[in-house]
Amino acid sequence: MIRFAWKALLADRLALAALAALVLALLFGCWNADRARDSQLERWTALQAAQAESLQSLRQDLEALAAGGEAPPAWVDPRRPAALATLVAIPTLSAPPSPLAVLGMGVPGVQPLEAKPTLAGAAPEYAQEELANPEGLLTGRFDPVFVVVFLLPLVAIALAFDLLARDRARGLLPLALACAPSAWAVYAPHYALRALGLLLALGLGTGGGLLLFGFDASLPGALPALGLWLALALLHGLLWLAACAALARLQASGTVQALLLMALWVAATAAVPAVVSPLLELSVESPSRTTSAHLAREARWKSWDEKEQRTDRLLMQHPELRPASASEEEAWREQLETLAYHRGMAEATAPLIEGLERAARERQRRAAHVAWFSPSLALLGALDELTGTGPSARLAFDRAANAFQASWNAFFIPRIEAGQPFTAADVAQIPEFRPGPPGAHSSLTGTVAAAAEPALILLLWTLAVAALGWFRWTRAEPDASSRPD
Amino acid sequence: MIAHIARNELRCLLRDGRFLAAAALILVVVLAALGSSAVSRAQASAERNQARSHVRELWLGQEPTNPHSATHYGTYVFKPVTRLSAFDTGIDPYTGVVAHLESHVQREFSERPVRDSASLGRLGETGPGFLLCALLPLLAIFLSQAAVAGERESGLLGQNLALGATPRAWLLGKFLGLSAALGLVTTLAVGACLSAAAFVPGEESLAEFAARSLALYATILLLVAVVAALSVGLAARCRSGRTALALLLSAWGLGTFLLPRTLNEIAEAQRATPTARALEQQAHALFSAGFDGHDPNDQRAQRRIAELLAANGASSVDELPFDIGGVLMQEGEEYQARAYAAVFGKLWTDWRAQNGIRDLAGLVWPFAAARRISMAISATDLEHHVDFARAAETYRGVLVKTMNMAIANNKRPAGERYLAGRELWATVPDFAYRRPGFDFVLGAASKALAVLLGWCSLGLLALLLPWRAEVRP
Repeated sequence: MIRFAWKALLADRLALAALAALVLALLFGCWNADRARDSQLERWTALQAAQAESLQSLRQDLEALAAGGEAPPAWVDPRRPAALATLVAIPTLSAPPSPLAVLGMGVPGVQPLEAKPTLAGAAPEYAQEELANPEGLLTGRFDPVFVVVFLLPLVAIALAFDLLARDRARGLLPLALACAPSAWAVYAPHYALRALGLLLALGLGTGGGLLLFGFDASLPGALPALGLWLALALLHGLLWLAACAALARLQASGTVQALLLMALWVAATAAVPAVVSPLLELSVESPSRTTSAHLAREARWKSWDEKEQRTDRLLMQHPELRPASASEEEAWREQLETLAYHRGMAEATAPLIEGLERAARERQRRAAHVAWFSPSLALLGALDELTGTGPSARLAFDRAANAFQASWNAFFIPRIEAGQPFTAADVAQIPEFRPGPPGAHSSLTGTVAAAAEPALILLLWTLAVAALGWFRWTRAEPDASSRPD
Repeated sequence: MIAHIARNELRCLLRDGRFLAAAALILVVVLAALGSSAVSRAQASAERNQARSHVRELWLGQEPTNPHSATHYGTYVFKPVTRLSAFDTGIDPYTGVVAHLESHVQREFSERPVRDSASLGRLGETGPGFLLCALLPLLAIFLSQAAVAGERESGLLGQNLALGATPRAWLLGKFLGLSAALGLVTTLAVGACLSAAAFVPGEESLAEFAARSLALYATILLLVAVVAALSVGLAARCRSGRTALALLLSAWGLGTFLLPRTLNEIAEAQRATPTARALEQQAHALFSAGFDGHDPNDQRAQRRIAELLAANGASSVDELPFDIGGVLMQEGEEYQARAYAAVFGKLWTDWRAQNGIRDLAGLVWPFAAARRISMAISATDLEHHVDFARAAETYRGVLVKTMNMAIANNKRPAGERYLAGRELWATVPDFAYRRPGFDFVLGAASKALAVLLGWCSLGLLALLLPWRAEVRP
């Protein structure tokens, strides 16, 4: 039976073409993701270099000033910690590409893992956005995640949509059934070999992509994440093979089965997301982008107007801060006003930011619940997590950026309040941002945890559909009468 | 005979549970997407109007300050919402909704709404316009398969020919019947969408909305008719219905999902979009050829001061009848604006070139062409975005020039600073944007229109060219 199924697979040109197309699509996807990864790496490296250069130049400027050089305008004077913390020395915080970036690029350009610290806290108007052709974003990217979520089901359908119907249409079914104790015994090897074909194509496409475009297996969590990525991709293929097997017992022609499977595919990949995505956005109350920009603007103005009052209040509450020398007082007060401005803005926008973050978390939580109704959405969530482009990576980056923000404030605010001039010796102490690559989990547990729920959803869907197929295959023997397709 | 076959086909389809179920499913999905899209656009429109008037109040309510400081605070412009964007959101979720207008810098729009769409944003478009352009052709393919190949394989074609119908008449009748059924579904779906869109607050007049809606309806109807004609023609000519179906489904899948993404990658590889940092560096490289209006010690600024002194017969800037600072800042501003115009012009040219590559998908399947026309009619395509960005930049120029010239024309004695108030702020008119008319839409979608008309010709050929009706027992 297995030999017969093998020969049948080799003779099936559509199946072989579909498998070859899958390998090519994966390689093309890896190439695209590799370009996105290179671009992210290049940007990250450039930002690191720019930061190092900026610190070096700052050190030289401070040394020159100490040696009696000409003082720059106050608002960019490097001796003033407030100028440094708000303008002169602020770095762009960014993360390097994830270890599995060659297998998925997420949505580069929409929400890059980048941030800028301010003097008192994050503000929505500082949200980093990249230039990206909006029509390109609208179309979507072609990466291995797209191949696995969108194209792999089509390949599985092409492999197995008319296994039984074709034999029935050719009049071969009675012959096949005469050779084995049950129809399942005849067709199980066909399905198994096709699943093996999918595994091989996935392995070839993904492995080839990783070999061609590079993959650092030594990074923590990279290998378990890769293993899980491949397992989930295969599971998705098995889900669609199981759907083919379940529909094979409808006694319908191959064409009708193809149409039904295509309808399922459209429902899973286009219709469900089309209904779910806007509903999710609307179901969670949150300030819109227009409102948040407008509120941030208002907060900025209000804070600017109130900076002097705030400084007066601070000085009344803490008279000990005032410098001994009156000549230093004006410069020191200007710095305190800058601090007051940033603090005021951070206070005014804190509820807005909290609202945006809470809404984002809630949307993500609901999206995870909705994924129980759509294996495609569940798979997308899991693969994005494993490639370091999912919500966990964002959350981890935000945590790291917030921690850096705290150290930034802890470094500069006491210096501003003390009116302590900055010197070349202080440059080495300026905090540096060193996050790990997103999606790099230090242990197998971390990797599994990142994708556990979506993987479970996909597994349950596959088991349910396979059980349905098994039930339909074992309940009754297929109609062996020959019918034209 | 043709009318008889068409009537019969339509009657059969309307009695066919599969057709009714598929049509109902498409309607439900499109209406669900539309409902949330219309609510979201209505909210966006109300918020935008509120934000716009508040920003204007903030501008007018500034404390007395130096006009150039006021340009640094600047103001904000918010992208308008069109009624038809509820039907075809186009690139609107992927462009920012707001731009900060201030002196010295032209900024790209920021705050993309897609950032709020959880991780589903990566799925690409999911609006009603996309769904109709993707799903109605699929329905046309499935129905033509049953109507033509099914009838031929069941032997009914032979009976029709025996009754005196010519193959061409039979095919035309099938096409007309099928088109009538599909037209019904299209009318219901597009009609519901446009009726809902009419309730979204928008700035366009109802007459303009009606005209654009009609054009949109005609485009989708044309797309469906073209696919029906191609499907019927191909199903009739292929020896096996399975082959015709495979060909049509492959073209549909390629043209709707696979090719646009593939070409998107090729476009990005061919004409890579610069990073925001690189764009800023390009602009700064151009600035360095001009002069810094803020720094009168700049050598080029010194030369310009000398020219102005000579032109006014003065020996020092104090003798000039105007404030030299205001004039220099304005001239520096104009130079920077030209530099930004060049940099952004190149960026938009690159984006257009990328879109041109992506539009090649329209040669394989008419989906891409129909989508381009639909976005242009709904004013949610790149050309409309660029037009709005240009209007915002022109306004920025007016705002900054008014402020700088106020400084120039209100010279104060040395040591005294000119402070302006509400009277000056009010001389800058509120930002008003007039959306371009239908000729602009035709220009923006001319290539796509030509491609769709090309597909129409192909559809007509598929229907009218002679074919051999092979009747199998």
